Amino acid sequence: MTTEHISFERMSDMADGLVGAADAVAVERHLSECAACRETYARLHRLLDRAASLPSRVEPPANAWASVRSRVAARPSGGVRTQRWLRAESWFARAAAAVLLVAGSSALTVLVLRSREAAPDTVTRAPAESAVAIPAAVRAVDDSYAGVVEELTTTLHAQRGSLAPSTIATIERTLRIIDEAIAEARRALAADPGNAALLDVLSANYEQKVQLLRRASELPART
Amino acid sequence: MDSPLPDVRPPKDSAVARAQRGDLEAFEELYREHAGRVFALCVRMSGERGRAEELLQDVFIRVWERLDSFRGEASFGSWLHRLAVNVVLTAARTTRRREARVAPVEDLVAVEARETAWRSGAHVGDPGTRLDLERAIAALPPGARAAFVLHDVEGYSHVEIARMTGLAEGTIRAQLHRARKLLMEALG
Repeated sequence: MTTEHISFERMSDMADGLVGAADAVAVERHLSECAACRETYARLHRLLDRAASLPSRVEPPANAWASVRSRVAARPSGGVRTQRWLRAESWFARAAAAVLLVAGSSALTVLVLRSREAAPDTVTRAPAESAVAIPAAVRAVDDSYAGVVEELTTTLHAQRGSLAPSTIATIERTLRIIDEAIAEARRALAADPGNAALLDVLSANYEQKVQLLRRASELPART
Repeated sequence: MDSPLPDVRPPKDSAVARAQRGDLEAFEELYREHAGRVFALCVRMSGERGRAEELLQDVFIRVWERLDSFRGEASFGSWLHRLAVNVVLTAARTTRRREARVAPVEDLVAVEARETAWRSGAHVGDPGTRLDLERAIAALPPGARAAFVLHDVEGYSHVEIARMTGLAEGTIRAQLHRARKLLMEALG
């Protein structure tokens, strides 16, 4: 009998079918011989059974629909995404969310505000990605944001002189992170064009960019 | 080899198609059909009822805004649920640094008391046991809770969760191990 107990992590992977065949045989042999590990493994399976049998629906309060309706009634269905920015959240919170969104991602590559000429490319095309490889759904998202992003970028660029250097640095740093998130989402969609969740991530990233640009372009008038 | 996506838009008279044309009554039909599952996700992922109600609204606002992007490649329910997961995860990133969550047990008791619709009546089980598990899930650290809810309750794979969260698969597995271990300790 093997005296060393099986780690919980290995049991957990075993329960998910993530251990190789040879390792699985070894685990099963140990379980047949070790009452303590057998008990832990049985408890793990009981937990997983209970989790899988939790109710899939929990009914929301009856008045929840009224709140949803009042909010959607003021917005067009689909399409006109720019109207989402009426939400009164601080752009600093948005910027923080964007930073968190891509924490741990690959190195940052694009400086949007560094030059007016570079801005349109950073808006619509990820680095090292050909136009041929871009799925239609991704192009549609790109196109729906390209105009407003370009317009806001131009506006912000013209206002750079009235912004504090530290503010410009914050905006540029956040834009770099958002652009990298956009590029990553586009690369992932190039490999998996039918993934609706990825498409949603791409849109969310663009939305954060529009929000940030809009708030930033309003700064001189507000201070 | 990828082939062009077929145009499999929903039938013109379906609730989805009518909602896509801006029909609020049709959107309400969709809400009534799917709100229960979305709210269950929101409650479990956020760990608190009040926040879950806010998230539920945010999800359906987002659905309304994104209806045009639903083309029928997946079922509407699957599309909506993935969108809901994305909204909840994005919201969690925003608030993660702001607060350390403590399980609001009374909220979950209220949620449990309001449960009226179940997808399958075959899994009723013992209410006390279910409530213990719901409480224990709510008390998990956010990352571990998300991994457990998405994988062990909602049934998403490690790969899918990694894509949705932007985290490495190894990180998801580690969070899952942590969640399961903590839950086993909490439940005895």
